[in-house]
Amino acid sequence: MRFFTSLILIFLLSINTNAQHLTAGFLPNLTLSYKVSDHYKFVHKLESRFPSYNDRDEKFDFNFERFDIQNYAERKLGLFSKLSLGYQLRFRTENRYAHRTIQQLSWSTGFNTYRIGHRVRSDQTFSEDRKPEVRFRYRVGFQIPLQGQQLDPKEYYLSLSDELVWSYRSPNADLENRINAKVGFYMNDKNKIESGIEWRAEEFFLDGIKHQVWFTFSWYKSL
Amino acid sequence: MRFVVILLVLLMSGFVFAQDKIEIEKRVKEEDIPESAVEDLADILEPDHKVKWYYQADGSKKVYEAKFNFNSKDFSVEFDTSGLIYNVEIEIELESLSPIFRLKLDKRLNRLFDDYNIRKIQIEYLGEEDDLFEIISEDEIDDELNVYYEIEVNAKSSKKRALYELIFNDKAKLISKRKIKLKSTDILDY
Repeated sequence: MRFFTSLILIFLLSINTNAQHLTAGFLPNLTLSYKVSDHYKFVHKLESRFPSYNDRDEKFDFNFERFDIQNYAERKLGLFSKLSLGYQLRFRTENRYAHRTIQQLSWSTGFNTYRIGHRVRSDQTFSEDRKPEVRFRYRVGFQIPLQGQQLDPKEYYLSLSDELVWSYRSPNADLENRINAKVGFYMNDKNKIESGIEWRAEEFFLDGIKHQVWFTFSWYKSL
Repeated sequence: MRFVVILLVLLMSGFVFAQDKIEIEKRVKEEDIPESAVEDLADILEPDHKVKWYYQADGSKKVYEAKFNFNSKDFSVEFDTSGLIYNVEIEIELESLSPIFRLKLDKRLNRLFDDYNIRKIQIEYLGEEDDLFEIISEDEIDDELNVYYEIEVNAKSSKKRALYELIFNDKAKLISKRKIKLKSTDILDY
């Protein structure tokens, strides 16, 4: 645990010294899922974003930015693969909102010890005040038990992931990279809690890369 | 407000009625292992040979498990809680099984499932203490040892696909079959 904390500190310091545009804040989320049959499952995810720091003002100020409600219908394809269709409603400040449709294919490998999860996702966002945006994303994630060869109830695990996001909103295309490092607590298969850091580097194709660092708190709950 | 309370009660209910997993395995330090188990292994392996120790509970069976690589083989040796050797397991490839055994196994699996894919095979030896240690030290398999094959398959039967753990004896007779409960992948998917 001490190693992980040191790693986070080194990571934050290195970002801070190199960053041109840095935004940091909090990203709490809750994922609720339930099976409706052997093959189908519904998943709901609630997520809020609170940007609290940026390096231009150099001020800490806890602000609400947006609240997302994601809903997915998931179909099991094989033992380790799934197809999901989703819809997201985003509430932003000043009574603005956006709609997003999501298509996702995910599969996992490495069942016995660590697990590797792959996710290919496309989404389309529509809102009144901005032009439509399309995105294509690929994420690879690792779940590594910290107290043995397999993850058992009441044990900690390490969750690492990297996601590449290509987006297009007329007239610009953009590329973004998202790295996640979290420590999770596996209470049981129906309750998992994670906390860690998500680092987003965006606008690779535009002038100057922007960095975002989010402190995440996640609760995965199955009914 | 009432909605929030109901939602919280609903969410917290899972902590109370959580289902137990059949097999629990935890990494343990060498100091926590019965001395005789550590010494018996140290007599065979070099003193600084890397051994990982685990505590495993599967129903009423509680054992300490030593995992190590020796002579290019992946061993898993179980000791009971008093430190007496219980079994020796070695992970093997399908190709290393005799053609006759493979044929019998294939026949059995075809009878059990519509479609299957073998993911992992472990050969398990049970018997006298000295015979079990000789498997590691001398690479010698005594005729008196009981031999079992623990096979993990991704299989389909009655249009349902699942992961199974099957145990066969040395005649390829099915001794036990149990479904492996897969952990949810929600943290990797969403």
